[in-house]
Amino acid sequence: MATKINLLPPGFGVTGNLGKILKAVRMVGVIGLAFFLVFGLGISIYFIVSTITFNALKSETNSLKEQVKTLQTTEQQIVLLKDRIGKINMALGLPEAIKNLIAIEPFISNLSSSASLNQLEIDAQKIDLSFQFRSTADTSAFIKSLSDMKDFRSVVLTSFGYDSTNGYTVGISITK
Amino acid sequence: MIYKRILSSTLPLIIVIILFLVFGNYGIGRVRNLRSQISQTRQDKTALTEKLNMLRTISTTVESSSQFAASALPGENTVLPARARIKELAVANGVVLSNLKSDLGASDVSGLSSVRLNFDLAGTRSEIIAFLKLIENTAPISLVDKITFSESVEGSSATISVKTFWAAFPQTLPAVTKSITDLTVEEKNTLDKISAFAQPASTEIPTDSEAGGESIGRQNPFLP
Repeated sequence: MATKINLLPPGFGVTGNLGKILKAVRMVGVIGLAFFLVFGLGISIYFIVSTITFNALKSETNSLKEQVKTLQTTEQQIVLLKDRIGKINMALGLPEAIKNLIAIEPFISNLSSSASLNQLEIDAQKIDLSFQFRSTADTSAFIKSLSDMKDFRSVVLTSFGYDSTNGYTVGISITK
Repeated sequence: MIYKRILSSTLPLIIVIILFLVFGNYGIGRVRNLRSQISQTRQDKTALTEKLNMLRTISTTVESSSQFAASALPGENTVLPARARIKELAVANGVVLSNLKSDLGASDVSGLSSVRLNFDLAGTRSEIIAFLKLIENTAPISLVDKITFSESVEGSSATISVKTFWAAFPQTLPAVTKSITDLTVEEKNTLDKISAFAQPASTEIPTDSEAGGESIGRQNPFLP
């Protein structure tokens, strides 16, 4: 039968719970070291694979960049085109008088032969007109056509005069 | 002796913890950095592939389109071509042009420069109206700002104020990896509109050698 003997001098031995704890700590340390080695190996493999992937991607990207550079003239033209179109839209969006001219044109074209247009002033905001009518019938027809106009927001009669030589003079201001 | 035993038991654990903290942190940092570079390169690759396909697709049409656009909105002051255009239109429409003057100063709003041209017209009402409608459909872009029209027994006359526009060409290209998009529907509509503009008598821009000048440094890449 085996007999346990302690050769350490009394007071130098580790006994009881402390011994178990130290043994467990040593074990945890060894397991941790093993984990570290596995972790280190894993991360190294992952790093190498990622580096290879990165280099391959970088090479493909560089090749694509070179191909894009060969089409630089086209790129310049599309950049120029987009820049021009943006600024053209900006210019075309500015207020202008021609829309008001187009809106009023049918109205002045349909004046009777005895009526005449004295003055027409058009800007982006409003249209000022001055007409001469020989007869009351023309004047009435004109007033009626004003009330029939649907394109304009407001029509203001700015002047109305009569003299026996020229007939009726009517001034209106129109806002679209 | 007991301390020595405690130290020898705990030392491997302490070393493992230190190794994890130092090398783990360093290794994970390197890998994370590499992954971010891979991710960025993948994005660049996708953008470059799309850009390349886009450039190959549009290369056939973009040249003429950019010429139309540069003709509609040139990069330099358009007073002289606009004056010439107004004179051409007046002759073509049978109206008498007089007092053609341009403002000295140019105004600039958000990179868009403009200058005002004032002139008088004489002719029939329909001729003057036809002339005014044509102005807005010719290159370079001009907008009729104000019309003062008067009629008498001698005929019709008008005093016109027109704004003509230009804008400096872009000086730089975007980064090579920045993607470019095709024209939007709105941009295509604008392009259709300006493509229908009547072009000035000569829209060809001579090269330095054709003009007899000396070429210094790089040419402006945005010259159409």
